[in-house]
Amino acid sequence: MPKILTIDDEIEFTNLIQGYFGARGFEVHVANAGDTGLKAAKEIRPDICLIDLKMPGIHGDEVLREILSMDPKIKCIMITASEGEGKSRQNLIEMGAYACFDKPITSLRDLEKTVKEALAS
Amino acid sequence: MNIAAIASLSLSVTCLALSGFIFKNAKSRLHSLWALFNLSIGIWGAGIFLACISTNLDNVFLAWQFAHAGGFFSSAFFFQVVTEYCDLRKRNFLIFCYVQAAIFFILNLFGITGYEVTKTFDPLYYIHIKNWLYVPITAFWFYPVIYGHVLLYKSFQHASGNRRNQLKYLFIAMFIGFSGGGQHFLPVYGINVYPYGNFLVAVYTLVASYAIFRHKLLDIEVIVRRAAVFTGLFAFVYGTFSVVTILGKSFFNGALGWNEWMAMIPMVIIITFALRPLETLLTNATERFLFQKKFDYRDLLRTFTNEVLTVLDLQKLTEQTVVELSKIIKLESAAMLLLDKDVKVYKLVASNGVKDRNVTFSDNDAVIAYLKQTYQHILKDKAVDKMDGHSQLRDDFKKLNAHLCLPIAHHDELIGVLGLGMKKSGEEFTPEDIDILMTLARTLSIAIANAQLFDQLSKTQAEAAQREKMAVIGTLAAGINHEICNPLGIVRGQCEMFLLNLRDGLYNDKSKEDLFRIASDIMNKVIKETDRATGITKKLSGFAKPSKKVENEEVFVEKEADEVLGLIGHDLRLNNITFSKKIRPDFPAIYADRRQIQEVLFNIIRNAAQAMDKKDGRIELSGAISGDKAVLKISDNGSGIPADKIGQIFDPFFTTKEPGKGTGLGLFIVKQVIERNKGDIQVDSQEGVGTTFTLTFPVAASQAKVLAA
Repeated sequence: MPKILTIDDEIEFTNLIQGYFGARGFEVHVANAGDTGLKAAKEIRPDICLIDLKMPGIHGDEVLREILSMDPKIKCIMITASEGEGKSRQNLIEMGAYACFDKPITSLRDLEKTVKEALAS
Repeated sequence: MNIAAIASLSLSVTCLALSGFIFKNAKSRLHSLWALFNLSIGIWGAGIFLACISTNLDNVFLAWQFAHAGGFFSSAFFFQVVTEYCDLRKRNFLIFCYVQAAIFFILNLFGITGYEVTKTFDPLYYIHIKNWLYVPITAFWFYPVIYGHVLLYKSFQHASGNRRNQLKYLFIAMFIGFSGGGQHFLPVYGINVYPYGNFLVAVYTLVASYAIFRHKLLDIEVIVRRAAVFTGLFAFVYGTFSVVTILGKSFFNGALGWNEWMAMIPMVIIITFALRPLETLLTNATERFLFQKKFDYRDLLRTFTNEVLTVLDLQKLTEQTVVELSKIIKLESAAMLLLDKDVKVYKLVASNGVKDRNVTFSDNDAVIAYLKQTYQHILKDKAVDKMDGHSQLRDDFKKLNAHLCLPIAHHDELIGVLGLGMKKSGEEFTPEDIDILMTLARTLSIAIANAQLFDQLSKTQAEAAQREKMAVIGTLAAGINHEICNPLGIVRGQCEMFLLNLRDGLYNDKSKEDLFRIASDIMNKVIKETDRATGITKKLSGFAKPSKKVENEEVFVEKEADEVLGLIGHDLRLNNITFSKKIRPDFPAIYADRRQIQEVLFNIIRNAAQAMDKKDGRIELSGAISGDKAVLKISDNGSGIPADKIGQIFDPFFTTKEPGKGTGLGLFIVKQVIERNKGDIQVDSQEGVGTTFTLTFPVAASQAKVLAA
């Protein structure tokens, strides 16, 4: 069963991810801050990480870097809210992110497709 | 009285009046000749008037002798006026004119003029040719008249500018007058046309008077014009009125068969009721258009020094200039053009009596070229006469409806043009007028340059204020995005998930109750998230709504701080800044404008957040009571303000932020707002340690008991 870790300070968002992917045969883990997310990643070793870019405490790009340095095989999908703030998408891809998604997510189906592609790759 | 008598009386009165006024003010031989000419016509008219009202044959003949005494000389005087005015040498012909006039005058004295009196128009006696002598009299009278008109016309053809206008009106006036007067010869030769033509002679006076006041014909003082015009108009109206009266009388008397005295009654009523309004109308019309007093220089200077030149608003300055100039000098129009430096075009910025509001001139236009070359005034007619390419200059003047153009120059640059129309009185601009107007234009140029600078400064300030607004929006944007887009995303996601689960058959094994529970869960989430989004929009609209006037009310600071936090709290959290409040639950409400207090808190908290250089940033809001005042403190543990800059932080446009990041208006606005709310703000800062703003506000009156406790 593929493992997904969703790291986002927005509880309702992580609930949504848990509800959607949980119902589709994924093992979903949730963290609502950067530091707890890193901790969870170390313990769980997920296949996929969904990381919110803007979070209080440790920001998403920092989390991405840490996770990849820990295990470069983990596929990280970044969820970015606003344009022009923090790292640009191009930067994130260069840092090793598998893909970037706009927040709010406009299609859960698309996200699912990307997650499945990431698993297959 | 018959119509011929009325017409003759009208012409006699107007011509004699004109003659008298010109005599009184005569300054040259031309003036005297002009007066003599009018006198001769006036005498001739008076004679005919007497002839028309007499019934005794001897008296009628005597009256005609009197009329001829004036009439014989009229053509000679006319011819001399023409030669003098057109500056022509016709000495021999003039001698001939006067000799023949004198001969006929003497013959007339003895009654040897070849005519007799007959009852031509019942009941009017008129002259009729008796022998051949009247033929040369007629011919010798007409010859100078016709020749004079030819000379006038030729001069007109070669003239330009105002002189052309003068000649035109002189020609028209004379032509009308002599056409009317010449009609007298018709009944003499058996063509019995009733002498209505005498009215035309009165019209001659009107046209001549118009030419005098409007086109400065013969350069006679304005007083003459006024009196002559008024007399002329009055005589004309009176004459017309009398004719109507007579016609009306004959209608009631003749057609309706009323008794003559009875027939007069309706006319008397009409006259009684119409005369007064007519007189008022006439007086108003003449006063408005002709009787304009000379403008008062002192009034002009006083108004401009006290009211106009001190105006700093460019638009107002130009508009007031145009309005006041038109009013004081009594101009038909006035216009001001100013140089638009960006496109190098002179644009009409204020006008009065100019049809085309979009007039523009460039350096290539004649009027600008002339003003740039000379920096002197241009008087339309003189310049048009003098300059090459005058047709273009004439067009330029026409566009502005101007008669006089003045340069508005500052530091050797033509920054504008002042175009002034004709005076309503018809007077020309005198050298003194132009002198004072040029002085005024020079002073005006300084006022305009000042106003332009001020305008530029205001624009810069407005731009900075705009940038400040944009900066505020930028700060709010992140919070708005977080608080609106995220809830919407959740709403969307929950709905989408439900539908996809349904489609993917994930609910196939669910019972009806289970589905209801799942759907209810989703609905509850939707409601919660939409409430969240609505909340922020409410906060935002309350915050961003500009308050034009201070609306003081009881304001609970803690509540307002929460509202502000709703807008920027997310931003603070993202930057790892902790915001805390230490406000006693019984902290009194202050008396202030709620929105403005939000603005103050927003600006100070935002500033503190932007100046935060520590990882564990802290901002604290605390409230205390000091005497009858509420004291708020907003402290941060940020970078602090350098001691040498602390005195400037409330100055407009002062900023320590990187270029492009701060507008320097935030704290300036804060101070303004606090003072407007009768509060006070103090700052205490230590570099590297943090900053504390202390805000003092009056406590709301209803909270006095809290203070007393």
